[in-house]
Amino acid sequence: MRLLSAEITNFRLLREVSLEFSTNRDRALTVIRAENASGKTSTLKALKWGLFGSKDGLDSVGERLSPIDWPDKTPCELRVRIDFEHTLPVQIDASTIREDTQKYTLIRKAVEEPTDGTFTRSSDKTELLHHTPAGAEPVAGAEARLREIIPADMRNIFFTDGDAALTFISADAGRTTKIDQVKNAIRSLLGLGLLEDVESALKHARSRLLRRQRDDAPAGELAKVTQSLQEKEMQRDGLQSDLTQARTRTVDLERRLTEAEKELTRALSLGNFDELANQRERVSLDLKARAQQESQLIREHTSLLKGKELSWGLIGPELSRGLDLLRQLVDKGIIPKASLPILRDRLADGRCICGAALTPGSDARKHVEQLLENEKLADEHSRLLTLLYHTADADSDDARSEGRQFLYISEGLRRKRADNLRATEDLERQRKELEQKISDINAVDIQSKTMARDTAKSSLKNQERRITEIEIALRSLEPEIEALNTKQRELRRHSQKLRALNAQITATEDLSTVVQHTLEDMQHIYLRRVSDQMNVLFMDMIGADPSSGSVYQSAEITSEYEIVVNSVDGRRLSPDHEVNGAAQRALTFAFIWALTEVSGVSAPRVIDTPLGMMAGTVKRRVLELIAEPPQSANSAQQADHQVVLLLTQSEIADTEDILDLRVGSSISYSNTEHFPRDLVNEPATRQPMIITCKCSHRQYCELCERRSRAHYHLVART
Amino acid sequence: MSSAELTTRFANLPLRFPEKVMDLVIRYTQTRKPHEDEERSGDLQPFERYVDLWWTALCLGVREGRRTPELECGPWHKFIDTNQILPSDPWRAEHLMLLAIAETKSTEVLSHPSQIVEIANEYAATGIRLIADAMARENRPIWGATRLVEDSISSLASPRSA
Repeated sequence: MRLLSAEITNFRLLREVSLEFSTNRDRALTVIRAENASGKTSTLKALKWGLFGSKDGLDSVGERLSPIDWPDKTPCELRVRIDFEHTLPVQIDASTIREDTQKYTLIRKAVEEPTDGTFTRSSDKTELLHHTPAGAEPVAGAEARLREIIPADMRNIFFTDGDAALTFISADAGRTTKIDQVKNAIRSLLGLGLLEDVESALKHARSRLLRRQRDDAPAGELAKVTQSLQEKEMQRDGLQSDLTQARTRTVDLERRLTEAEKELTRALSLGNFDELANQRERVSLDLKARAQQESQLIREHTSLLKGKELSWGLIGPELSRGLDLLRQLVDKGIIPKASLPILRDRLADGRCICGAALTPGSDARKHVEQLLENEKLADEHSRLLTLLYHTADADSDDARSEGRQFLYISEGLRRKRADNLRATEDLERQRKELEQKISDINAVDIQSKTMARDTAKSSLKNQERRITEIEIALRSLEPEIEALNTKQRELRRHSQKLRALNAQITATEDLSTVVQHTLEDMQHIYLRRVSDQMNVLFMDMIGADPSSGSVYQSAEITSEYEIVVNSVDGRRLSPDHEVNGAAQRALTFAFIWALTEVSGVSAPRVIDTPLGMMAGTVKRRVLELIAEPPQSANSAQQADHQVVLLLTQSEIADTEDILDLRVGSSISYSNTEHFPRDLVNEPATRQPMIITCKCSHRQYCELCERRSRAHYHLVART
Repeated sequence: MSSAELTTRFANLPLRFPEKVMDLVIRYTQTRKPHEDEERSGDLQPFERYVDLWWTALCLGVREGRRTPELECGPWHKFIDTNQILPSDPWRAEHLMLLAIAETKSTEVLSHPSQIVEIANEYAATGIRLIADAMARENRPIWGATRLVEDSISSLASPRSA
């Protein structure tokens, strides 16, 4: 089976989406590029619902599918149309087999009506059209025909979610659940419905015969034993049925928990409200500090424009010339005037420099005093020159450096102010983004998603507890039944009257044993085949070479249906906590890929977020293996090899060259609600919905351009 | 006589701008009370007081090498007396005197403070036009003033003839 195209209408955010799938065998990959909360999981769900219907295609029947903002009490038609082709080998004669490809169109519809927080959904309406040369003809028994093409048991193997698939090995799932999931996945490959039906019919026949035996048996011990045995067996059957139900419910809860956790992570990826509020507060404080710094820098800047540095810088030569003139006066001895202090000294000392006494009242002293007065009067101008000279001369040392000082300071200010401006703009942008995130957060939504996650978690725990209780009850019941059986067989042998009935009961029991063993054997054979193939793929994906002593020596599925990894030191590692994240993903992937190959079913493999948490070589190798037609597969599988990957841009990173060679069709999804936080351009509509474009993993256009595009080196699509 | 005494030489002498540039002087200084909703910032009004703009204009006028006498620039607007300004920045009195000595090539000018101030006023009248034009060219006038000063200092350090 190969998908040709699909149209999805009113399925969550996918209000009107058309997809074209690659049918080129050399470029078998179709990449749907979408960021988180941009319709990847919805696309996976829509395709599953389209192909398998509400009964088998949905993880939970109570799950709403219509757009979340669809008006109350207004019917909403959900519609998925899938065009596909199916190839079957047709035997022409004894030696000739040719491939016959038929085209089909599948249309599945249902009407959902939201009302007061809940909804009703009609049953599916399915139409399968077979395209013949005479035109499209409706196929009678559409669902049965679809199940022939792709069995319902295969739905979670061919349509996988990278996160949910981890439950095969993850720590969140209890050990029993993990084992049951692996067991069921392998059992689903067997397609042994008929044998299972025989096993069930034999069980019923035996019960009927035992009832007759009880009724026909003469009163006494045999009747009593048969009565107790039947009661115990009924009790066991009831417990086994409860166990099956509980395990099915556990798997469903596991899936629901994964989904709830994913939804919560998505909501929280917008940010935790309190944390965002704290971040905004911090950014606001930083902005305040930046504003203060800016004011300080402006003050320094205005001071510079009125400072001495500016003066020396601009008129330094003139100031120096003025100072030079003063220096010449000094050189000529005109300034400073030195006689005044000398005359004062002499008067204080009472003796002239010529040696004459300057006693008070003497003529000599009067003469010196007169000289001092004359000097004082004539010296006003010289004093000014002297003072100016001393002041300017002291400054002249600074002057030499201050001439350039203005430039150094202004350059420093320019740099500081530019840095401060950049930092302020960056903080403003951060604040804007945080405010946008805060306004995007719907606190009620997060609360309800947290509750849904917690409810699923606690239901899962209860279910695990219930399983354990049932298993304990069954374990204690088995020896009792065995004992009663032995006793009954013994008593039967002694009763001639019941000989014929005994023979029939023994025959049904023997047949039951044969069928059970056949089922177990086949299961074991498939288990080995899946295990071997998983090992080959896993070792290839992680690039481990056991012969050169790699840490991981092999991966296997044990006879207890547990997936394990064997280490170089001979230890058996539990993948959920002893194997790194990338290897966990690779192992899950290898398991699923092995299942699809061993199944022999030819169907598209649709995978949501396959490369999450992977990087480097492992990521590239996983993608290469996905892209290649499976080597171990049959010819129909090789011919119909088709893979649809739902990838985020970060998953694409570092694998672009592989995708260049292998992608045959590309579609990009954008969520209108991501404007303006992530999307650069305002969408034509602000209604929450997915818009599509044909951009490849390397491109962007007006519709899908994101703020992160430069980080991924995307180029504009022309 | 202390260095502060130098400023006393300039008692009550008027610092002046040409009357017709006063609107520009007002625009680029922070002296005036802002209008309601008017943005007030050192970036837009780079000079705190008229005298600060006057001093920068005077220096730029000197660099331009041209004095603008009253006859040429029209009536003067006296905005303050020297004795109210110079005591707060005594180095300015020192620079005024050195500039006047260089300009007249004589120390005699120190005996005529009014002449010293007149020389300064005439240089400032030349420089104010230059700086006002530079500031008008920028969204943030402070950068216009800064660049003009930087260019003038740089050209002084590496003259065109070099």
